[in-house]
Amino acid sequence: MTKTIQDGLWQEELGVSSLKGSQCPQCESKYFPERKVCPKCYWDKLSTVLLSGSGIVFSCTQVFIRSKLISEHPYTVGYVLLEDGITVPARLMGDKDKLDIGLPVSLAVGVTGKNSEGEEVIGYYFQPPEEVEA
Amino acid sequence: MNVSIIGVGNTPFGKFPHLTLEDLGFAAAREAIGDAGLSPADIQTAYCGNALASQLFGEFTIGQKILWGLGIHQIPIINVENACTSGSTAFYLACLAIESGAADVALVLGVEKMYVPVKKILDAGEHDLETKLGFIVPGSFAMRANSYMKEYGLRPEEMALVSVKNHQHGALNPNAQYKETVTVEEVLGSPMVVSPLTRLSCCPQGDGAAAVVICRSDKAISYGKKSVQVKASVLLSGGYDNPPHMAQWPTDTRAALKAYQQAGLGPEDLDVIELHDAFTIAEIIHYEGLGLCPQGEGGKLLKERKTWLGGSIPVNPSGGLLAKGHPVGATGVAQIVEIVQQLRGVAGARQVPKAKVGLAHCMGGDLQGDARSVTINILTV
Repeated sequence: MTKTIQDGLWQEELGVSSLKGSQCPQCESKYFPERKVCPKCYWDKLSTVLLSGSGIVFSCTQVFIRSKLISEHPYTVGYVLLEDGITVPARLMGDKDKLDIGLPVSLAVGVTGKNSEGEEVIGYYFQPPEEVEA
Repeated sequence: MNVSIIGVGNTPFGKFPHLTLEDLGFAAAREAIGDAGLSPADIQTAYCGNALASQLFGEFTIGQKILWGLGIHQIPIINVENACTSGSTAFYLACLAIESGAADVALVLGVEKMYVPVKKILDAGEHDLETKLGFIVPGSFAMRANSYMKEYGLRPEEMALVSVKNHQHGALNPNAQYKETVTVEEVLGSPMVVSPLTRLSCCPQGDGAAAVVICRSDKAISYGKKSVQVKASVLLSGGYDNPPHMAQWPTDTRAALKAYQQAGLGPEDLDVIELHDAFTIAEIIHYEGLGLCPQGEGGKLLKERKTWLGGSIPVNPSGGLLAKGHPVGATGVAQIVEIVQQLRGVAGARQVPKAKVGLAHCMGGDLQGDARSVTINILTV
């Protein structure tokens, strides 16, 4: 079975992948990845919530330093502001000239690189919606 | 605060393959103790800032290892890791020790060796999700640069002026790692690291050490040296709001307000500043966090040359991290050494005339788009 960059980050239902976050029932704050205790109000009974698969690029950068884990060069990472109102860190894929602050993007799951043992790993990433079908 | 600095010492910053952590730390500590007119036996407690020795060399408790060679034995020695603020956090803790009465005289040492034959890219933490996704340390600053440029219309050639200025200052500092000046074209034309930050927009890796000796202010006079008063010493962790504030560091603003309150001074009282210019964009955002100008106007302050030597509020006369260099654990102490030299009027070609009030600002780490650690120290004569 293929490994993931980190277990428990997303789940798949009826072919649709969603990032798994936590929500505090007391102060309503949302977190990604999941947490056991709310850092804002110290409530310890957080519920698991599925986060929106759509958002906009909050900020991003192209990394030109060669990576042992990622073959794409340069590759893009950034924060995506989800419709839930929180940002998540993510790899960004798609046309590099278009990837910029404010661009609408959607979640996808697939091979994003390798782990430190050199094995292919599955991760999540965001890309412009029109490129999802391509 | 009832704390004064009575001795300072530092090594040059640079790549010194023939020198060990012990060599570097020993040289800086010895110089500081000698500058204070003391002997090692007078040191009652010591704090040693270092960030990377455990990761790069498998070393730990290096403060004891360095200081026993100087004859400093049988006292409390505390090793401090707080990323880029390791040294300035060691200073903060030493000030608390003096204020509390636990010691009358304390030594603060910051030391780092980063230049090693097998080059290793420094991770923020290999188990962090961000690292697994491909984030690298300069990336968070690059994202800040992109957000800031979008929000306030700062242009790449304006941002590059930070590197031009600090290399110009570094050329006047015999201890700087880089003593060559650079042009805007050279900064923008150097290889891209993380867009929009090029190699000359990022500080170098290097080796070095810095040390200070502090004591109770009411006893400073008896040591006969021109002492420098510590008016404020502040350390804060981040607020980690989500969404994060990419075009500012709210933790800077909070730490600065606290320091100004503690000192009974404001940004208008400052004559000279050393701040954490790990990347060009950082210096511009820190201007705003320290209250030197309104938000979004940091680029203007720089373009009008107010923060250059000869301007109304010179920033990083030492050359800053960009030109003087950034041996991580040494940086926070070296900034304080520079401010002390400026206030004593012994900074040579880079002297800010008649400097009476100086501020040292340092920032460490990044978490959830916020700083993990900010220190601000305000010194006066």
